[in-house]
Amino acid sequence: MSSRKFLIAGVIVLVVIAFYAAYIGQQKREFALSQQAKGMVYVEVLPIQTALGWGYEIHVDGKSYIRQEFVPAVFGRRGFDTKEQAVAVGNKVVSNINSKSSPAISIKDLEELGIPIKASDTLQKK
Amino acid sequence: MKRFHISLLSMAVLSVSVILYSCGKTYVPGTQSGNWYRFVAPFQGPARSHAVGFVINQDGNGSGTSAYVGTGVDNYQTKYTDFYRATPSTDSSLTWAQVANMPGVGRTDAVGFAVGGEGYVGLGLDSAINVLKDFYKYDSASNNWTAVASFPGSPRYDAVAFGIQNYGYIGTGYDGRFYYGDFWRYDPSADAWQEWTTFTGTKRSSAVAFVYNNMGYVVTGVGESGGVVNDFYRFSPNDVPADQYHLAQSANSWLHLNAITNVSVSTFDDGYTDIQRSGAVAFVMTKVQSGISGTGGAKAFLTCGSAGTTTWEYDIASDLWTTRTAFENPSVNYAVAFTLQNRGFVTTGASGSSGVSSTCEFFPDQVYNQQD
Repeated sequence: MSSRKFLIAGVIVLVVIAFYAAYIGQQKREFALSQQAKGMVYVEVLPIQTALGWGYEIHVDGKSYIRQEFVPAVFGRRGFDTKEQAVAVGNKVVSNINSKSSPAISIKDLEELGIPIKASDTLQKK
Repeated sequence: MKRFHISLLSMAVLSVSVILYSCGKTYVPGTQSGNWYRFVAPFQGPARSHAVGFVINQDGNGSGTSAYVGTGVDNYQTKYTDFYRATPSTDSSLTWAQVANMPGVGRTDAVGFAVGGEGYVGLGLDSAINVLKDFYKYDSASNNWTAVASFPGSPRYDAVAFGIQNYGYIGTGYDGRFYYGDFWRYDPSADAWQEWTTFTGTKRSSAVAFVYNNMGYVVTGVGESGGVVNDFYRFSPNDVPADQYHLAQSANSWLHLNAITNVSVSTFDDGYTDIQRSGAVAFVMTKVQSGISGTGGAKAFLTCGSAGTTTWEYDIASDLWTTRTAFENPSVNYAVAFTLQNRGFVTTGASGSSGVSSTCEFFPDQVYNQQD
């Protein structure tokens, strides 16, 4: 008898916990959405390594926004040579987002960040 | 043993309650008008309008694995050559990557289509108001662009294009003086263009095209009078006999569909108040559960453009239109829409005179929710 009471009490406690957890999750989601609506976002860059070389992921509010496995703007699927290069370009993307400009990278940006650009990266191939 | 039962039961109750709580949007057949989710990862490039897009690895209904969006104009009149790839993801709806810039000049109002894993972009208007006819191929496997044969028809912008099976089709458009109704087929294997059966509707620009079941649909746009037009056609490339492709209107390749204004004596079109428009977008979803009289199936959704935020569902089987939840952001002109894995998205476009980067996804089977 007492074990049944224990079971019922346990279930009730768990249900309450489940609802509370779901409620907190919902609140968090709504907070993230309201922050997004206000233009306030948490942006981070994460270096990634793939078969192509180094790249980066940009996470906004913990969600993957950009996954850049190869050097942006130029021809070819060539990863960055080093982790530092990938992070440098990723940081440029983050600073663009934080300054309310677009997370795009120009060939000029790549040159300024010391990313080696070959002539074949932009010339039209025949 | 008893402890095991308790934990098992608790787990079951826990999962059920979590599921119940997270299902805020329950499905009620026949009553949904749909929901626009406004917080999809925004377009990665500078905010813009008059961009172009193509979807690679499409099935016969225009749904593919990745969309590429590029070119267009920003608020400072800069015309772009950059391109970005959108891939569906679960947490943010789309994940973006910046791909190789397109060769050639920055442009607006170009056309794009894809055949397999390759996209083709050409035509348009550059910053010196030159009307263009150059064409480029994007190979998604190598992230490289190459120049292909230029469009042999008159240079133009605001044309329509779609890829069906092994070919691309381009037609209609405007060059600043003339409206066009000619249609052309591009054969990637031969890198060659051929004039195809002429569009049988009014010559027009800024029309909307979508693909379903390996057929192209061309609807609305601006006609020669300068006003929006209400005629609507379906193009079946496979109904053109090989020896007749060059004869304008020779085959049953263009089927006249119901007009999109209230012109018939029947009642079905009495509510067709503002379907016709220019600079709009459309996308197809094939597994829609809700719709006209509760019938699901394959639908095209038309939204934005000159008629504002109203969204219309086109039921492909019945050739009938019905209204859906209006676009929940301010209306955008000359935006880009695409379908990825049967999910429909709208991105970029001009809201008033400002280009935007916001991206929305339409959920036709959800109840309208103004919070998201």
